[in-house]
Amino acid sequence: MRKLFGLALVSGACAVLAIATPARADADAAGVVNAYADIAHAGYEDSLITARRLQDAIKALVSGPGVETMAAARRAWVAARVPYQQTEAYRFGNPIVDEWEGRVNAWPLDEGLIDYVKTDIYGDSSDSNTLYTANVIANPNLSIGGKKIDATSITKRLLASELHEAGGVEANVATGYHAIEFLLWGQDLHRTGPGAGERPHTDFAVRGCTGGNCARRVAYLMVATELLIDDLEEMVAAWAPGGAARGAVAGNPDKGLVAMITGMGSLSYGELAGERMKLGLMLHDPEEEHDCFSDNTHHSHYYNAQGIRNVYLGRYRRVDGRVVSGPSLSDLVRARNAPLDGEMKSKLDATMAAMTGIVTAAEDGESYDQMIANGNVAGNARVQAAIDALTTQTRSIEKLVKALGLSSVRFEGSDSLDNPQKVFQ
Amino acid sequence: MPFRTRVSLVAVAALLVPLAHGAPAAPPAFDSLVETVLTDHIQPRHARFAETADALKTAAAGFCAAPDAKRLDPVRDAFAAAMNGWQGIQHIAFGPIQQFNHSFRIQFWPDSRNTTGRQLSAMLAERPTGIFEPHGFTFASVAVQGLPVVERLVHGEAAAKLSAGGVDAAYRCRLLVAVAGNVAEIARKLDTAWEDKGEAAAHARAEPQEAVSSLLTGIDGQLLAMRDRKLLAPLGKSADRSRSRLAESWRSGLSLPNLVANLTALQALYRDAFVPLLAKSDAAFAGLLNRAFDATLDSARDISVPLKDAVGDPAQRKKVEILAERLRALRQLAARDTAKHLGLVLGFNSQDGD
Repeated sequence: MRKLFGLALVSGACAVLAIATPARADADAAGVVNAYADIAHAGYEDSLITARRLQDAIKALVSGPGVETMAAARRAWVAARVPYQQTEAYRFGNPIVDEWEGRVNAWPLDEGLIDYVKTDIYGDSSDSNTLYTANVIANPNLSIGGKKIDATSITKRLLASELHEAGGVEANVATGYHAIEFLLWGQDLHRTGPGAGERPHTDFAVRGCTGGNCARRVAYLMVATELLIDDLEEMVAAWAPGGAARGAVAGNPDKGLVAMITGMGSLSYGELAGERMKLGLMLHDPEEEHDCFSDNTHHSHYYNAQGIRNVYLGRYRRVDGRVVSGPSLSDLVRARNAPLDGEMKSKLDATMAAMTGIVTAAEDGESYDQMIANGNVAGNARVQAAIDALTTQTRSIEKLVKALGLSSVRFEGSDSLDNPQKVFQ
Repeated sequence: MPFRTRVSLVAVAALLVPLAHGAPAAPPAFDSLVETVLTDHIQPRHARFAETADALKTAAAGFCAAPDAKRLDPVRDAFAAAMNGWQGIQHIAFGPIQQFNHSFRIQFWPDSRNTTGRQLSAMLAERPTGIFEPHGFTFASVAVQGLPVVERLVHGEAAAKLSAGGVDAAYRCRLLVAVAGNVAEIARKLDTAWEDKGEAAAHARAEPQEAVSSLLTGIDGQLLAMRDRKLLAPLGKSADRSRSRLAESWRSGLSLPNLVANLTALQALYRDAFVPLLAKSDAAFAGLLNRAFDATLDSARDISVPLKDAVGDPAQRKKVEILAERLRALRQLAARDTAKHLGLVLGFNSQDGD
């Protein structure tokens, strides 16, 4: 907790310093977009570094399953989420990231596709997914949409090309952080009560195996982790000098600014406030918790909000403590409309304060799924306060579009038609 | 880009930035437009939803006073009428519907995680009674208190259990009557807010430009949802990969009637309110709008089997695809181009996110 408060204080101090300094001459769109790409590159590189540490911890777990190696692997997963969640501010607005994202952080998932589940809690079937309880770890032969799948060996190809989004169902998540999370924690059987998933380390023990099929479970975990690393390597390269994602924004700085604002607004509102928070609160449903196996949701939401703030302030603190920074959206806005810049910063601060409230409560023992439980008035209000802060900050993000003279922010690209009248001729 | 089916939450953001250039020379008469929209459209349609929801409550209570499988049809008819009333106001996505999760409490859909199924099964197994207390539904999960729950109780194999006797049947009936009553109560609240003395009507009259902006933003989101959620999600990529159970109201066979109700309501709104105003500055565009609604409705009515069956039938699928394409074009005309003609531009539409 101390660390989080420290971060918030450091950012706050910088903001004060920046206001006292006149707008920098180099704060043009190209410079801002370049810093945005640098921060992306650092963020994905940190995600890769922490994923490799996760892989080391998982190797230690499967070669010597025990309480300590299991705990270490879980800690490594939690640490890997810190940089990755901050990069999510890049997802919307950058098609290269959005198309890739589903392999890495797809959610929510029907985990019965992957491994055993307790069906009295999970259910045994779903209207929308015929593979709801397919359990590939137990079943080397599967049928997907009438097609026989040989799952005798668990390979990258099987997970990424056959199982992931099998049957066109997005809840068939076979790869990425949440698949690994499920394997490390197992189902959270505590519903909205205290406690996370409690998968025993013996689920990975070839001798004294629990849960059955331990060798296949080990193989699945190893392959899914390798895939995560492959995917993160791809995104690091995309933001490196000469990379496609960097080129897409740097080649047209105004388009880059639009991508930045789109990413901030879409993550704030539709995705984080809406999809990941409000829905779970309205349903009081722990299945709607973002990190539902590990009960790490408070951190995931916190670092999403931090990522939005990073984009605006042009500043990112890396996992090793170094800071990447450069000309920022904030600089650009301040030069044109200083009160709006002040408003935006105070809204971002308010969101961080609300998120800190959630993190503090979680670290004091009330996890996120307990906060959204039916009847937990204080917990519900705490989550609602963060939703409200995100919604309010979105209103300010919308104003940036006009302040920067960017007329054409499109929040969905594919639905516009040049000649709708042709359809009705 | 993969087609996303997750529930999007926040119906639609109401950001429309007034546009300096491209605006008509004289500001459009937003106050008279709002007056027409209120008195000819919003008020009568909310009154109708309140009446049909109330009739559903009465029908459910009548059935449950002496449950008899042979007397379930009036409840199903009343359900269809209430659903029709709701579908006729679904595009009015601002004002009281945005408060207290009203929209989700009336109809939590799409339900990609089968939450209604899971939570309803748990309720029927455990038979909690807290929700029958005063305000019991206010803080309950939105997935167990609206029209989809009524549909699951009165349609399909489960319907017979309502009159099978015993504690299970008694609980099902008690829940049915309570949920119908909950929907009726929410419908009444919406209706009251939109009445002349209500705060939503007063606010719309005080801020007519904002009201038109919010209305068009809601219509933009509605036309998007009609195509993406109601049609393309069940359609899938091919007949053998269609997903009929992703259709709205498939259990009651109301998927297409819902869409027709959505379109009929929008057509009337444009015919009575927007087209006469737009015709003054651009008669060709106004005419195109009318044709677009006619053609889109024609293509909806052209699908001759229930949507859940149409998506698995190669010949019918073509008709569904035509309807989807027309909805796409209609959205451009009715939301974006209409906004532009009125000197407004649609901004953040947070159907987005996912």
